[in-house]
Amino acid sequence: MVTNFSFPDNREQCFQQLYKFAEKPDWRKGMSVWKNVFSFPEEPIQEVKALNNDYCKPRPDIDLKRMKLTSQIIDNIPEGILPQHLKKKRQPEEEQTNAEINSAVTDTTVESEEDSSEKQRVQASGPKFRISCNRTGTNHNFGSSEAARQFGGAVNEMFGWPVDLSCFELEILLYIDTEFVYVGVCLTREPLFKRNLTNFGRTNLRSTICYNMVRLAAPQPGEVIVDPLCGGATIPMEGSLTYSKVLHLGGDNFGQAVKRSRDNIDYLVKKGKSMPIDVAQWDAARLPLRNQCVDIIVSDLPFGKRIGSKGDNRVLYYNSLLEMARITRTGTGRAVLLTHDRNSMMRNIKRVHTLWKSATSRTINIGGLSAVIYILHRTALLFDPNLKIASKTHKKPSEPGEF
Amino acid sequence: MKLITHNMLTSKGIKNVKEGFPLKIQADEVKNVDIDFDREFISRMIPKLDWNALTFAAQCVGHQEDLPDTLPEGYENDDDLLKKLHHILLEVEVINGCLECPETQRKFPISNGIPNMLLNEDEV
Repeated sequence: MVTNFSFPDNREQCFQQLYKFAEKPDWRKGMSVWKNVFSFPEEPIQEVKALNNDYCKPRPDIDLKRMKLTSQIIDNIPEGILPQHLKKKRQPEEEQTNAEINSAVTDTTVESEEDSSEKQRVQASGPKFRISCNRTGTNHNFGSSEAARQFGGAVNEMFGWPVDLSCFELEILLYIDTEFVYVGVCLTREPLFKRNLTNFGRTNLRSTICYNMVRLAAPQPGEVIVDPLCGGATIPMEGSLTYSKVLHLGGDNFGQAVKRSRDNIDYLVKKGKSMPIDVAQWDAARLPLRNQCVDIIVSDLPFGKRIGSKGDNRVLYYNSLLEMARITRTGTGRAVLLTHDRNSMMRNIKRVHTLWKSATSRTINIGGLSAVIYILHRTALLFDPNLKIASKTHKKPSEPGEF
Repeated sequence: MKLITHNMLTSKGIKNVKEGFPLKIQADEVKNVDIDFDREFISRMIPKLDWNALTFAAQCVGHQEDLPDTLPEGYENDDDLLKKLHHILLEVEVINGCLECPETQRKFPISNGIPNMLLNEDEV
């Protein structure tokens, strides 16, 4: 990973930067891991050639749209009818060594290998590869496909691997952000974020995010983790698959959600996974748990967009924070809460500041929404008599809370 | 619902209930699952459990004879006891039945392994 990879304004210089960049990553290490994961028979890196060209010059007369026309159609059209400019095209096509012309042009993941005229014919051996490039940020003056092309050209030059965009064995990912660039080797064929879920609900947190949220709470053996608003129980499930020395509990007030949780858990238990997890149906504002019996709370609070509403959130966050404080052990207890609705959250954290002390908060991108994970620590105060559960209906003036 | 969860459930949300603990289990259908035995987990959980509630629950479910009435000293080294506890706490699951509040006798149904602890408007 390279930080502070600032792109110069000139487009050609960007290309050069990306081309040269292909030399920088530690390929041997990456390839040895990849080789182990995929049991590739031979050593992928045979010989490494130095990059001597400036960058992969994109051929001025090839543009991707035209390429769509040239591949199959041209071969079938009889010579006489073929227009002049396309006739000439056919010659260079055959000379090209490894170019795969992908007729489906997409924004982010096209890589086409180019042969600039001074390049030698590279002996193609080793794993078939492709480059996928993902970009975030708006101030780049090149496209993802061009970036992938530069990088791929360099890799092909260095190692001599053949390019194959569809039947590839090795996928290299190039992530370009506004500030930094990193290169990764793809180790799994399917994305990891949908693992373990069978019954999907209206809003499911990615399994990878669930795992990391539980990790943020740093569970110790013998602790109890509760998700009072678990939905499909994705967070307790991810937690119990990794942290088996901890008890994971989840609960939701919605019957369908609880049924979904049961399905998800049963499916994994049938596959033979050992999971110390349990699910109940309860109201997060009135948790049926004893005082001080839980150590950690990890939860994905309703954002107020698909589930609930901003108005509901103001009351819900307050009530659930109070209930969470009641059931969590003082001093050592902690909470990791994810939400998009910053206003409701910040306001309510201030209200309950005698019970929960705010530690760090991290911004995270959930499907385009800029959400925040709040990490809270339980203070030593057992309960605050000034803070009472707010009732939703305003018929009675003040309902005394239970502690 | 596992018995370790039952050890933490209370019906204190209901109006006029002082303790609401422990809930009485009426188990119509019970199932055994396989969970990997972990000594450290069980030994660390024991001080957090309410032992009387646990023996009470074990009695309701039919595993009464396995547990002693009081927690013996030096339980960390008693592998036999730890294994029995592991079985009762994690591996015995109540699939159908209900939980009963000791003070109001209000029944919370358990269906498909999930206890429904939601309260009605008038009970709050």
